Amino acid sequence: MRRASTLIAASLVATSLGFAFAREYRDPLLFAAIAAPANVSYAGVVQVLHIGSRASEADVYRVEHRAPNLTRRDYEAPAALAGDTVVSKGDLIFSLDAPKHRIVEARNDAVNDARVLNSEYELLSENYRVEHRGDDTVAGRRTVDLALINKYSHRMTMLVRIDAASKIALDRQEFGPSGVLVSETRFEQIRYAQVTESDFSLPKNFAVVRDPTLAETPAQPDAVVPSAGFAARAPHELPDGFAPVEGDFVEMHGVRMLHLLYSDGIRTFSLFESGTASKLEAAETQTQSMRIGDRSGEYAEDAATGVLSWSDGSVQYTLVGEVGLVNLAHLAQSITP
Amino acid sequence: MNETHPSIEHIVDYLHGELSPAEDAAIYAHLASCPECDGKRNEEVAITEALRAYAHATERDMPPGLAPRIRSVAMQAQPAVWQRFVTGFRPVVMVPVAAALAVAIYIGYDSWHHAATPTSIQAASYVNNHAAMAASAPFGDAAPPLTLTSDDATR
Repeated sequence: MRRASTLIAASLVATSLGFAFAREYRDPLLFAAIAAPANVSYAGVVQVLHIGSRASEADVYRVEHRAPNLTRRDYEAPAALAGDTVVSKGDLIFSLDAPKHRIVEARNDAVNDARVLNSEYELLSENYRVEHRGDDTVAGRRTVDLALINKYSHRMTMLVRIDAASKIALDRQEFGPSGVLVSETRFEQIRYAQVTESDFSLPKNFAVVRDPTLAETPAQPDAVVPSAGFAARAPHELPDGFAPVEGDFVEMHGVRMLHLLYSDGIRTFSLFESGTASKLEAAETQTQSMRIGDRSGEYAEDAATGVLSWSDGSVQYTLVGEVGLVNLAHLAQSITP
Repeated sequence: MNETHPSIEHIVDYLHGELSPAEDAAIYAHLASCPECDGKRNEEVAITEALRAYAHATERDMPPGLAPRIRSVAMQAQPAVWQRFVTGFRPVVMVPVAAALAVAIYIGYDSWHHAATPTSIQAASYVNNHAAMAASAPFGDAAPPLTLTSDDATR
């Protein structure tokens, strides 16, 4: 619900800026695919691939979903995640850490709320037109393929293969600004069956650790920026089609940060801000120094996701997203000209 | 997930309640599931209890009337101004003063040093937080398993 109000507001802002709702681009099949998880229960195996310029990453998990909003994912790969389980129940999400016998409880932002779905579809349909690209077969089921074309760049940003019968998106490929594949999420197996509620029960002998910021209430970015407690600021310019979606506070390594999320309906980026200086580190790749105006910054990639961090002397800024380094650098300039 | 054992210093800090809430919860959960670390915790508790018991057992009361006699002698012996000035440079005064200055300088330097050293944050921590909030975008990725950054979010 909270996301609905934010997204509806974002849509209104976009409209007031002159974006006309492109209703002619609306596609019933696309909307049915976005809404399908709220109506269809299933179990299967999903493979996720993120392809970066320096490193790539693959996850495999078993999934059980009971409509509308119970989902359990049991990770099988990579080794670092194998054995981990994530259970989402409505607006809460629980990460089960078996070796430590504990459950980390956090807020679930992926809520299948009808108003949220409508608002998110509205944002997507403002920025993308739909092209039907024929049929295919995924996990043994016939699919109808839709290409989502960005109306500013005229490039395909996503290809979605939708189960012709259930309308579940069985395969989705996302393409970067240069047109290369950056990620794919694909069902390797799927069966549609009633999933029992007991499959989502949490172990009783595990200690429950609440995410430190669970009690924080997300709001519109414009509303949370003034309450940051330091001189936080939002970007002056956004990439074509992007709108503010949500803002809240998070904590990383004891550093409290303002977190603002922006989206164009498919692609997203986050801006983190803190009044405490921090240094960006990358586990598997070197950070790369770069200039942001007359300031120095650090850039790193985590699979296909770029992370750009810099300071203006009083506030530490970090941009995160799969929108490309050029867009991240341009955004950075607009935040601290 | 990688199973890492807390250091003995962490366990001692845990016993003394000197950890952040997240670290405290993490160690609490770890001790509940790790007999080895729980054993170390019990050893520390036993050592602390033994020291406390020894301190109680060896406490001695001052002889009756000693404190009033000391106070009385101190009140009678009022040194001249020059004597007090010279007394100020005696080792018994100067050593504690020097020690206090050294501690103050060390703490001051240490605080300044820590303030000047920014916290290191892994790119993966930012990406996980971003992914969690972006999970509701149409056709967005499922939110990754949440880790507490006190555990070190590199995975």
